[in-house]
Amino acid sequence: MQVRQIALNAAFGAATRSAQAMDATGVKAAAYSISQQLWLLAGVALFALQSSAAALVPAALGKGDNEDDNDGATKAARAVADRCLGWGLFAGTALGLLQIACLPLVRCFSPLPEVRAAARTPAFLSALAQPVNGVAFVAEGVLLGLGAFRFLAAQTAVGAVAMMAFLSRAKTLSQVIYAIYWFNGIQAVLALFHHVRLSPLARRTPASPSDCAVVSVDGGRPDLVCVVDDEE
Amino acid sequence: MQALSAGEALSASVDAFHWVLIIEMRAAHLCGAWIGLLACTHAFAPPRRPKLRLHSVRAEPEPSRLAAALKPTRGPLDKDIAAVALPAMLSLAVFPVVGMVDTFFVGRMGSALSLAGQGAANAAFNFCFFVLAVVPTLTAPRVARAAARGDDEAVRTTARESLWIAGAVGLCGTVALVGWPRYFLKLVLPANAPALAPAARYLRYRALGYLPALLSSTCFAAFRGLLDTATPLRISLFYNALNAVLDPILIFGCGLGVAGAALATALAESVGCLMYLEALLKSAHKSNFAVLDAIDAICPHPTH
Repeated sequence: MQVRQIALNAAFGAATRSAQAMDATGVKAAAYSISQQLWLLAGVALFALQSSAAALVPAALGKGDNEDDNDGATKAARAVADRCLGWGLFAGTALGLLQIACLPLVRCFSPLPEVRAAARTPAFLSALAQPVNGVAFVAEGVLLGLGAFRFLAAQTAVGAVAMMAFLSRAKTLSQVIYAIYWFNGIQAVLALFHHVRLSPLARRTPASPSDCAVVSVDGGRPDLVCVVDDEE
Repeated sequence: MQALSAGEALSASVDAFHWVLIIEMRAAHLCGAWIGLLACTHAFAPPRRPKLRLHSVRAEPEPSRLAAALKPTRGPLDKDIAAVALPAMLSLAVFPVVGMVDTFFVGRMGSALSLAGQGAANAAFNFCFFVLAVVPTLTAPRVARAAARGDDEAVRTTARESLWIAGAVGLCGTVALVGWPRYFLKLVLPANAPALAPAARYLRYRALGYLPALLSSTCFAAFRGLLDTATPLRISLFYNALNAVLDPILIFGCGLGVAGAALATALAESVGCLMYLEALLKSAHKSNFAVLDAIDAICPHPTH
């Protein structure tokens, strides 16, 4: 987890530094800082969703521990995680629209006209990425809830490396925001991949039709029983 | 040996710090690349031999996960998610608001330097706080799992462990920030900035709130694990209101200036911490199982 924090700080610190190095007057740096603050006003909701997912998924899993009902608990946890991801998408979209609507608020952050003008584009661009952010944040929350820390650190590191590679070539503030797009996009893709394929919550499909047979279990009604690759 | 002049010492330490930053960035690059490489080898590792497990699959097709996740109508799970997520959103939304309150009052002082100093000190404080915020993030899932199991003993143990760790780390953080504020300010301010003096003063007082803030954060995480985000919201609203009330009293009434804003925030955070600890002690034996009953309703236990 500390590795993840370091990667996050290195990446976003590099973003701030490159915004500051962009021009000597500090206008770009101030504009970047304002666009980030505007993002944060909406972003706290996504942080809250992330931490909620991180609590709801293990809560659903824990119910199965007592009754030794792993399948039911896994199904419940999968349903909760899926729905949280849906919420993430909706919330991200809503917050993106809200952020765009609040662009005039940029005025509150600085009295200088050139800073205000410079801040509008990065704020608008970072608002466009909010739907993807929503999914990425919630998916990370699910990973946190499952305790998949190594995967989380790895995906953050990959995202950070990609982001810093783009940052080293960024010449304008918009390009800095595009670099952040890459970071969040990679996070979303990798976390979703984990959720659908690698996670303990992923749906296990039977290896092939020949691995299934209709059997009557315990003399009850006949049921389709399959051999499944169990990665636990 | 002659002592270095203050300017030379400062520029030498800034140079050293720049080298530390460059080394840290290079290390993070290398770290990231190495970890990325490890992750890739893991993904392309040869497939393991599957463990055989008989898995009963119902004949009818399972509903599409994507459709279930994105259904725009309110489903049974949404009540549970909202019960946890919405108060959490409000609690976290309070923080930017509080920052604005502080900035507003310091702005009323009329000194641009104080405002710049306060902004820089807050940035340094937040940086130090979030770097070490790993403890609360790790607490919530563990408490959640233990609470859902009904294992009160594990909940208490987890909470106690997390609080001890948070306490130890918080104490180190407080000592570091109170003792060496300028070192941390160099992260956000260039060396000879005139705002350095008020920023250092602000940071010294604000740092007194570092330990309570980390403990509060950990308690909040423990409550999240218990799926109770309403109590933290109440406590958070109270101590932020306290901060807003104390700010004008300490800044203008006691004449402490920008340090008064920091002291008000630190005091409010300490009160919040005490309230959190008391609430946690009271509720450690109760858990919010009701929200999980809806989950039960969706996925009924298969009857054997």
